[in-house]
Amino acid sequence: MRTLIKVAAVLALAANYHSAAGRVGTQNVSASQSVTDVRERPLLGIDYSGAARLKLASRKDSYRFGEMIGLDIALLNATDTPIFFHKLSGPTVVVKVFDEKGAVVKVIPGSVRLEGVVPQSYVLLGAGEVTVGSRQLLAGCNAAGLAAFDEARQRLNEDVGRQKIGYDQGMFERGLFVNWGDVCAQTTRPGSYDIVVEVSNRHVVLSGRGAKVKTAVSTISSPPLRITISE
Amino acid sequence: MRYLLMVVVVTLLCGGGARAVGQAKGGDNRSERRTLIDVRKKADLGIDYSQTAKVKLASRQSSYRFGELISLDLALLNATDKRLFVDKPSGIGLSIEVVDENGKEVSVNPYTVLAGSPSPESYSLLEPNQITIGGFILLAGCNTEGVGSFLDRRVELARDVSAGRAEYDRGLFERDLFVNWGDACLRTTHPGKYSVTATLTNRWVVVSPAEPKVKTMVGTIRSTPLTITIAE
Repeated sequence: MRTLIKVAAVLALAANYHSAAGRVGTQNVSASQSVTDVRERPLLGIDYSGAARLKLASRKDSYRFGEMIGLDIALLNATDTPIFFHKLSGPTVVVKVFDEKGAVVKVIPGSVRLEGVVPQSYVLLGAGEVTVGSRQLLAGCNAAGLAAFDEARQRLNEDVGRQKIGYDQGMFERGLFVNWGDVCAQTTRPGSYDIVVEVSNRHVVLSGRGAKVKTAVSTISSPPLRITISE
Repeated sequence: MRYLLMVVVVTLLCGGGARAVGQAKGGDNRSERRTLIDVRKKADLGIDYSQTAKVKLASRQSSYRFGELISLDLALLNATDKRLFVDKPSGIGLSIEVVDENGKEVSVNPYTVLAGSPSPESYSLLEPNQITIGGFILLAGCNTEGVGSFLDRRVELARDVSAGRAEYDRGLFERDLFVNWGDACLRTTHPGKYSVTATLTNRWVVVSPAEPKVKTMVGTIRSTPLTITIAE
């Protein structure tokens, strides 16, 4: 498998190819750069509304309760100049769900995400380049096994606290490394739901003396994605 | 069913993006100044998986329906009392085999073939009893509505990019081709029980000036089979 395969027909894709949840566009930001609050360097910020387009998609439009809804997110640098964008990861991305009447459906995270904002949190996108990310939304929070999984994770935390077992070893021995997605939508009603993702950022990248590359700040929302959830 | 295999040449240096599933955890993954070398040229830095690791394969459900994405989660434990380098359990070092109830192999068809040289970034330094997590997403069935046209449209984009008719990133965005269909599809139409096994293979060792005597897990290790039921 490790043999290098050369296929000329697709070389054009190769330079940019990344998995669906990775970076598509250009350069990662170097650790030698730094970040600061946009209020301290307002001239280095540019509002998302003037810099980007955000899209949300999923591989299908109908899911069943207990199924994982893959939410794929793409952010396009819609300007003609390079701009720093926060990667589509961590607490920067918020998933919102609304029912057919527009009422908010509670979205419960599987874990609390905190982020220390560092230069590597950002990607420099050239004009017309895209960065992509994803979130996994479990359809319903009552899936068989989820409650037991949460309880088992809680027990592990307690056992680690009492020094009965190491955290990693406990995760391994008890099979708690299983992926239950990022969030679940707390609903039991079949029907249509509108899903929106919001991306927020309030820091700018300081990219060296004299550099004037701006960072997209404030909040941008995707157009709603309609999903049907059935029994 | 038409099946399109798009072969994409990717060096793993490009592969730093996080996967849909499988954010590796555990270990120090500083890779500055680290290099990789074939274990045959530096045998003293290799140690066989069988002496060092335990591997587990799991999934959140034991039953899926055709068209669902089966998330296969893999954990590798450093079962020694020494620090060791390990290739993350995802990407080209990971292969998935599936057999049906009669023990007959069922084809796992990847959408893209990743090939190339590995990079130090894909290796973690694991402490004793520490784990690293990876995974694989398998679509139940290759006849799922939408996947064929998705792959067709990916190929069409590749052609348009090659012909100068489209820019790759903008094409992905405008044509909704950033959607994740998993890593591969399981080529079956028969409901029933399937046994899934993950195999990790590595023949590279990390040469690290800061950790000159730390060995790397090499060879091949297989998980115990995981039984999954696929229903209509």
